[in-house]
Amino acid sequence: MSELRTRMSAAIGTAPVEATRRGAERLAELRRRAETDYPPMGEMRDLARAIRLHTLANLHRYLSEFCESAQRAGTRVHLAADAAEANSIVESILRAAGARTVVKSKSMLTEEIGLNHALDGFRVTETDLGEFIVQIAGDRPSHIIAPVMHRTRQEIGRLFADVLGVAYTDDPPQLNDIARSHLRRRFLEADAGITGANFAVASTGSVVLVTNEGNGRMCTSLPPVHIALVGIERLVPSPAELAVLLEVLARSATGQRLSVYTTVVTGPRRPDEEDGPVETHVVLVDNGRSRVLASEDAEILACIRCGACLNVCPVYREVGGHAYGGVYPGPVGAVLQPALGVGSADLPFASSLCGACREACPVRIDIPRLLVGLRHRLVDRSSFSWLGLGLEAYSRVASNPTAWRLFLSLGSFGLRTAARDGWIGRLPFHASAWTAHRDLPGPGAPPFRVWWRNRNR
Amino acid sequence: MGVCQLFVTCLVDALAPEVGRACVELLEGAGLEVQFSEDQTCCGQPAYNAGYRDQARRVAAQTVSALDRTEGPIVVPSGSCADMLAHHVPALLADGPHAGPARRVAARVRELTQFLVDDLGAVPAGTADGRRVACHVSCHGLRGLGIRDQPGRLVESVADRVPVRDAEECCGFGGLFSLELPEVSAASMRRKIRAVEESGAEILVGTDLGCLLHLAGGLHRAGSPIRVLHIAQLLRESTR
Amino acid sequence: MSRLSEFLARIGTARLPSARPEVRAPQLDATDLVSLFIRRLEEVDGVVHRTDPVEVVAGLARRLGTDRYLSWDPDRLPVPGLVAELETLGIERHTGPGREEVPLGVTGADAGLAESGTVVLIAGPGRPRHPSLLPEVHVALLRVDLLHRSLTHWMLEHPQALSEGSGLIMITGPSRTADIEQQLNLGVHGPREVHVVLVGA
Repeated sequence: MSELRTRMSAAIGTAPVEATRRGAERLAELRRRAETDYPPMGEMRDLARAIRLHTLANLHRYLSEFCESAQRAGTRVHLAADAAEANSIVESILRAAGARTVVKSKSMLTEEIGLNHALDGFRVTETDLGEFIVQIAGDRPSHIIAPVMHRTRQEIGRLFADVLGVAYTDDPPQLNDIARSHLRRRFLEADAGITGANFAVASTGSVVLVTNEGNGRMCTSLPPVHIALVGIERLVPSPAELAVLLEVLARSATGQRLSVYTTVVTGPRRPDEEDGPVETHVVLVDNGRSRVLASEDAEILACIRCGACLNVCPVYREVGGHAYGGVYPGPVGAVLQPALGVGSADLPFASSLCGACREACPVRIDIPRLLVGLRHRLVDRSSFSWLGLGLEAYSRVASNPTAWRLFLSLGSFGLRTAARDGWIGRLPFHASAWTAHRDLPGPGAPPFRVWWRNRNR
Repeated sequence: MGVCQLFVTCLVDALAPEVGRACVELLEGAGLEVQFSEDQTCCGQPAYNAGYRDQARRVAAQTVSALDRTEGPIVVPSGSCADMLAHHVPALLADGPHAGPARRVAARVRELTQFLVDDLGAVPAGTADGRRVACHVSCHGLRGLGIRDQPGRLVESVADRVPVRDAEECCGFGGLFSLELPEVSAASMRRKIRAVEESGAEILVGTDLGCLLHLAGGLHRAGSPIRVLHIAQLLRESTR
Repeated sequence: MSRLSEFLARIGTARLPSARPEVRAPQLDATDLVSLFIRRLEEVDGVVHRTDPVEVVAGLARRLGTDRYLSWDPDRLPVPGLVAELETLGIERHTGPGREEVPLGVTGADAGLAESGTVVLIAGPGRPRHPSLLPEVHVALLRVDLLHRSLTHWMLEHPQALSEGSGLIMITGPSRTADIEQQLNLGVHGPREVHVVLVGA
């Protein structure tokens, strides 16, 4: 059994996955309602898609424009070809600033490059409530926008009691207050704030961050140093395009018309300003993206990380986020991880190709097409498999009508012979995976084409 | 009298010939001359979705060249195979000698309920017999071809249609997916079966034999009395 | 910048449609912006006032049991004399250290977005970030003539807004999370209450 299959089948029906399903269904419903409530949403999604594809097609130009604008605004721009380089850039910025304590706002990119691990010489605190829980539990996020969707309030209550030394409670408002006061102290004492970026605006050099809790604002307003890690594909040409993407992102992620806080950082505080960071840094991270851009999988880089595809995916709902392995779960992860060359290579097979992801995707990424494309290239590279042998035989037979007719007749005869009261309860070889879970109705008669020929004789 | 072609699909041909017969009789009942090219085999989807492009190409080429030699709309009792022929085969065969046939065939392909409702307007007139019928619209028809209410309208014309919770969620069949990740596939199947059972339906109909074999097999294994029919069979039974 | 050209050299051409789409504001049925703004902000648990700003701030201070508030510089607020009038009521604008202990913050706003119930604040000299960030309760004074239909409408009319200050924040109701079992909680890190006083209505 493949590692992926083992992981996924072990996850089915477990408590964390049931919790994940409830969360995913709720978010999917909120998105659906937001879409119905806002008639222009369809055309805004079309526009958002065109903006993302245009930006990717001209990424070269927009990256150099962003670098210029950001530097003009006083931000120091750093370029990281891969994870190791990105991590060491961040570390050297922190050292140069004499920083010891760092507050972080949730970022998939920093998960991807393993930044927290690389910064183990610093005191790094995740400040998104969900991500904070993940951090103190030594866990991994299971959803792109709701990292602890898989945990119950009781688990979180026990965790807070154990790690933070507070009295046990499983009341979400009280847990919220505990985290608020704990993290407020961290914000006020932090030497640096590290964030990702939902978008980076080429024409203004701005970094844009969307949060609901306000931790992104805290990280970019209170500490003297702000470092944003930005995947090179996060760019948008100008503020007008940004507006469209922000509206589409919020509605698709949580069904909100806009997220509570959209924070735009355009350089450090200016002369005579009372607060805001004194130093702003942007680390542009490639880490495989330029390779994806040049590949057949380029469209996946249009993703705006809303999580909508996870929420509607029948596989994600059945196995949760962790079973995918790696940082990016769900349909987008099943494309992005193999495209970036991380995680299980057979992830593209973790889909029934039902297309719910494509329908939900705010920028209409054809995820099933990308999954099938990855499967093709995976098969091209792979050596012998029984399935491959079977499909080769099938293709030989199915490209010859005489052989096909014989095959159908023999197959039908075999199944009719094997059937008891019209049903087959056990099949051999690969097909035993079918009868492990369900019966197969045996054919009631010879193939259709036999009936057809007799009828027209 | 118009001519139409039946692309019967490999699953119907081998495993449920009665569905093919029902299609022929339904279409003839609607006044069409039905033709069936015996050179057709399979659309190639099993190999295509499993990543075996060359094998899929060979099979698809056989079927499109057979169908290209015929005339009239090509009616398919499967949203999935229709979606394959209409959308994926033209791209798959774009660079070879079968590009033209693939494009022409794609333009003629119609899924059965789409053909009956949208093209023929042949919704049987109000003879609903009170049987409670749940309808499963398969994903490729739904999202690939935009088939949303056609099957439901047909069902409503001959029976009492009962709503199914999360009707648009995948049943977990997914072709070879059901063999590659069988536990996940079966988990989705059980969820769909629960939803169908809760709907109070006596009969489950669908537009795709793959999903129906999967659900029928699951219902039978669970000892459920719910009958599973292809929509062509239900319509044929009711118009006989 | 040789490093940049080296970095960019890795980026090839994607086989994707490259035409730049024209961004237009969505066509929406005409509606009264004030009532839409009120409805939308209330839907996300914000509070809208159309009464005297001095009374609103004083009432909140009394409820919070405080005689201090954080705010933008008096001359940056859209209500002239607000700070002075509050002072006659014994409520003082707090400056200097200890600001994290003050439970009330007062700011102006640079725009209001009716479709989402959002206020936009641009940071700058005399317009710090912390009064809308640290306190439990944030009051934004918004001139009604700064109301726009949606974010896209506003951004198309104000393409320079992002560059006007080092920090721009759009606030849509109080801080919230649903991270724990999807149960909504207000006031995780930012203010638990957001009040918008419409000025000049």
